[in-house]
Amino acid sequence: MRKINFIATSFSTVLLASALMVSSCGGSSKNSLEEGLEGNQTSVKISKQELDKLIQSFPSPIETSIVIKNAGNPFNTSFLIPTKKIDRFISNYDKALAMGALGGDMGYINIYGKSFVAMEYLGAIRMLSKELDIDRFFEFERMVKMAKNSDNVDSLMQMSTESFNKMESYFREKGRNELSILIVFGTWLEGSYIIAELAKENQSEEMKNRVAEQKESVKNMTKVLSLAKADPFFAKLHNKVDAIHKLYDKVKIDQIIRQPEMQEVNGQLVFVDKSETKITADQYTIEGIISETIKFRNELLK
Amino acid sequence: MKAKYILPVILFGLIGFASFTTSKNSFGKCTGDDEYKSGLMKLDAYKLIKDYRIQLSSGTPANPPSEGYMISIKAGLKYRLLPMNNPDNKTKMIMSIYQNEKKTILLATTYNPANQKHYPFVDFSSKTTGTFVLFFEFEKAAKGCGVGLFGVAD
Repeated sequence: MRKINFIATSFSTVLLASALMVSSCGGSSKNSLEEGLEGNQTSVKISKQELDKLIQSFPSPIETSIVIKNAGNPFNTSFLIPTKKIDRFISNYDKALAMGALGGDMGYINIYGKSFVAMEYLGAIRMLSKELDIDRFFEFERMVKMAKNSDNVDSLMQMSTESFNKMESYFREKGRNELSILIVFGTWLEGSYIIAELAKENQSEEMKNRVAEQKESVKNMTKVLSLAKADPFFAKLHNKVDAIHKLYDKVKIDQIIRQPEMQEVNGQLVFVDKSETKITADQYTIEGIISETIKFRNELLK
Repeated sequence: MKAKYILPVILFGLIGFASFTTSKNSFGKCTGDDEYKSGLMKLDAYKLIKDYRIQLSSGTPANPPSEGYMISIKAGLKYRLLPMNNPDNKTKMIMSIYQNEKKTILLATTYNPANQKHYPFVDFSSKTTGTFVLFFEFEKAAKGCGVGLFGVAD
């Protein structure tokens, strides 16, 4: 009888152990990032759903770069983050912020098809991602090969987008909200900075409107940063963005959103947009926003 | 424990173990990796902004299950919505952009209820910059699995 009990118990133990093994293989096993950061509780107290919504509301670097290119602005390398002495980003917070900004720069570089510049930026991203232990999200060898051939710029752009999306989602899924916020913030700030620099040089109505229409993003960024302002690093960022947000009080955006007309034309569904937007902002206010955005970005990233 | 109970215990354990591993595998069919790869080819000149891996259970037509994501739209840019369906889906996935979560104003959709036609993709542009909501659902509130690609043209 004892022998039978022993067999049954042993079998159950083997089953349980096998089930646990399968479970750990299919699920996410701990990696060095989690192990390294475990116990370091996130300073951002917000539901995942709420944070996801806020983070998703920011434009991608691709969209921002297309807006810049469509306005007829030439490519300018002097707007990019200097990649020399990348070790000037010391803390994990600084590194995450710089990673986000480099992602913004990659969007700008790729949209202009400047693959020879992309090589240098991939090197900087590789260095920072290794230090943050998130280099597994990037296939650097393939990306460098793509950058060497200007015909592959679309594939490089797609791969960069995928890698940055995965990296940012990873931090959010793992509850490392502050790193996720810093990546999104860095990308957003870099895009806003390039728009500001261009609007300073090119005082066209279009560039003025592109600065003005960032009012909603600035408001959302103030909201995101306020979630973590118990942390002095985030409190500083929040105060700076909030100061820019206040400058936007004088920017008036009237939007009338109307249901578009749907028509089928040659087998394609076409939407005729009947919405209207009216932006009112004086040059002095826009210049103030431009100047503060440039100053803030250079303090953090130059 | 009597010897006659051993066989049922072993069988029960094996069935439990098999169903545990099989259920993980069947979930694995909905990774969306194949749909994603095919979708990328159909983006043409559009650049990928984001892909959405969708898996919804069935509901009622009065209360169809859906998933919504905030998206940023910039005035003057041209966007593409491209739904890719899992081959096991009974009905097709619909991607629609609304002004807000309450679905007040529809901006673009891959399904035209007027002629009950699904479109493999739709392109649209907006005159307004702002945050909108991209919804995913399956026709007739069916369960389904798919990938939605959201791209922008330069």
